[in-house]
Amino acid sequence: MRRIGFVGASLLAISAMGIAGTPAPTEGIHHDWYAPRAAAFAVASAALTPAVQVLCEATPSQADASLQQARRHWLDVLAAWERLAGVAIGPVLERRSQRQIDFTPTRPRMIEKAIKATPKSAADMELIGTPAKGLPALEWLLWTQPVAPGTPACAYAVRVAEDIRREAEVLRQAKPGLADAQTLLSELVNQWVGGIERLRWPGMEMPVRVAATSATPVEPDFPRRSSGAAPLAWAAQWRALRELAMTGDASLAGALRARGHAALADALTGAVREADSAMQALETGDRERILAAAKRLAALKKQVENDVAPALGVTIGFSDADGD
Amino acid sequence: MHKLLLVLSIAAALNGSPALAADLNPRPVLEHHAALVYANYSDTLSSALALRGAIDAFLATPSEATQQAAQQAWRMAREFYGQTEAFRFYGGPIDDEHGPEGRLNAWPMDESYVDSVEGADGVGLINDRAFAITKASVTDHNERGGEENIATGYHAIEFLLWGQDKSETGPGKRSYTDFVDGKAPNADRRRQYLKVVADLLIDDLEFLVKAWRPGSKVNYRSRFVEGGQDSLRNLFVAMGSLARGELAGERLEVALNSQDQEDEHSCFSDNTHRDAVLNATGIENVWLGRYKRADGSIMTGPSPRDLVAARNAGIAERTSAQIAASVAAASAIQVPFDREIVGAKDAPGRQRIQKTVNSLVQQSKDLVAAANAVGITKLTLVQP
Repeated sequence: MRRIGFVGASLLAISAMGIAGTPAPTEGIHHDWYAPRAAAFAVASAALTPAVQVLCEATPSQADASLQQARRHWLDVLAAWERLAGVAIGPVLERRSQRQIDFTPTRPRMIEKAIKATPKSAADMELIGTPAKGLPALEWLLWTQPVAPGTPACAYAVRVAEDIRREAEVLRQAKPGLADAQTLLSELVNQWVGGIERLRWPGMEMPVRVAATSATPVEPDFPRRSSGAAPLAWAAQWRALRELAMTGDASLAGALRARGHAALADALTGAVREADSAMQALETGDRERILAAAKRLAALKKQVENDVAPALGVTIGFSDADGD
Repeated sequence: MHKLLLVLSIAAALNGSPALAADLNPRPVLEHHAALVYANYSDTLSSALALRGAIDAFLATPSEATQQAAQQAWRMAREFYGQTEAFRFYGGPIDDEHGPEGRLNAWPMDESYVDSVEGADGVGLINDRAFAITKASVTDHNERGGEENIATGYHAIEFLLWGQDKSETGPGKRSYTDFVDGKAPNADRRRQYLKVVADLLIDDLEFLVKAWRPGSKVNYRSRFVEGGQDSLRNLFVAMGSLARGELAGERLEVALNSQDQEDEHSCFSDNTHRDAVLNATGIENVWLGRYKRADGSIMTGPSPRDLVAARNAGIAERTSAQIAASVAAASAIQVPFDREIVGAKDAPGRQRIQKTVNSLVQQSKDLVAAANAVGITKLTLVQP
């Protein structure tokens, strides 16, 4: 970049921080966005462990109803988690919580090995690899190979639920970091881009594309396939992305308006609404609509990278999503 | 002193500030980078030809000695390919829509897709006698129906040379007799399969060498050196994406979290510790414009570091130091990697890997700052 451009970029960054001398839109993000969603995730997680415990102690006549109840709680936890982690900012990012409690795909052989290890404490669970823990592993234990009351597998399911609850509680209690406004804004923009890519490619488009390469007809292997909760997860992730794109001051559009970029904010809001229409009522069997929605998400991501980020003085950097 | 550095130094001396006067023409950097890429891929091809020769000798006369020679040739070939991974992630010849990366280095591999595994004899393409083992058919079946259905590349060859790693202290222990008629089922097809995937490896590497060969007016290299700031951006995208998402993330942090051998890159040969060092070194090669060739000679020339230093010497120095720290941290990871990842958070092996992850993550942030210093503000990689 020639010097005039370099100075211009510097001024933009300083300008953004100068406006943030009064409370910046992003400074409210922990209080207004993160904290309530982390609290909701913690509440849902706290209810999951006793539900799985009830299943493990159920009599034969109670077993099916208890399993259904545990499944409903798992779905509640999933929805709360995706609404929080759909855009992984703050403690979710710092603690690498997605890799801790949402490693996909889960690995049945590791779950079976973990069941035999009979972990009894948090320290024991630390020695269990993440593909055998977290939400995907519990999904396997509740749907793919549903645990029966009084079995070692059921006891392990309780340990997994407890492990999720521990992480949720840490996330609920986590305090915001001391980063400056521009750093927070940069994290928001970058993680938003990473979040929409996680939803678009591994969450939606890639499973459809991979299934199309199969010699025999197969269903796309979407995340949450066993529980049939892929649409629920898509909706919850998209809700997080939509809110942080356009709702209130603590959003990308809010940050744009605070910096005098009303036209860009309007354009972003328009694109989000178009993507919102495409994301409504998606079903796993409708591959054409899934691909069409993914195309909208890709366009929206490009808009944020090309227009929004430069206007906010943010560099789209590198993320965990950059591997292959 | 490089010609570019000389120009920049003269400009700085005349004007008091490199940022004021230096014309950051990236062309000399791009031309040298293209030469470096060509040299690295040429060495990779040469080492792969040596590997194929060793495989041919093994298949002609299967024995412990010829098997070990092929294994050693595979390890040597990885020494060069591993460094080339710093040329990925921007849609260049290696991994554009038609690029061969998925045939060369895809992982993790479901071994049962190719051959028998413990508890499942007679599975895989090799044991399916209705499956014709040809270059076309094997290529067509690579990653068919699932990302772990790996049929080709370094790791398919690795699996055939070592077999599954069931040892806590060493690599896989496949017997050479798996390739001897009458000693193992479908030994003839196992030999044929190994021969075909070795040939495919050569084909794909020859394609890459050709794409970067000097003197052509129509290959990728000719467009790359004319690409100006866009090509320069690609160098930063490659370095940062490999450092953060791929090496720190997929290859190290995922393995730390999973504590599972499946997440070990070269799991059959226990060569993963070298993969990490070579990837980190590849990034350093690009950053410094330096490469140690197979014959021991050192290539040097204008580099991204030089351009950044002309704008902001502090950022350039900090980035160089962090990249060197990553290479050092990766070099401290001990073999076998599959034991380094196991244990509680404070286990020494896990701490060594975590230190490497932390350094690579910081390195990726430094590379963003370095890119910013030369006017590059968007560093997302090319996705499908």
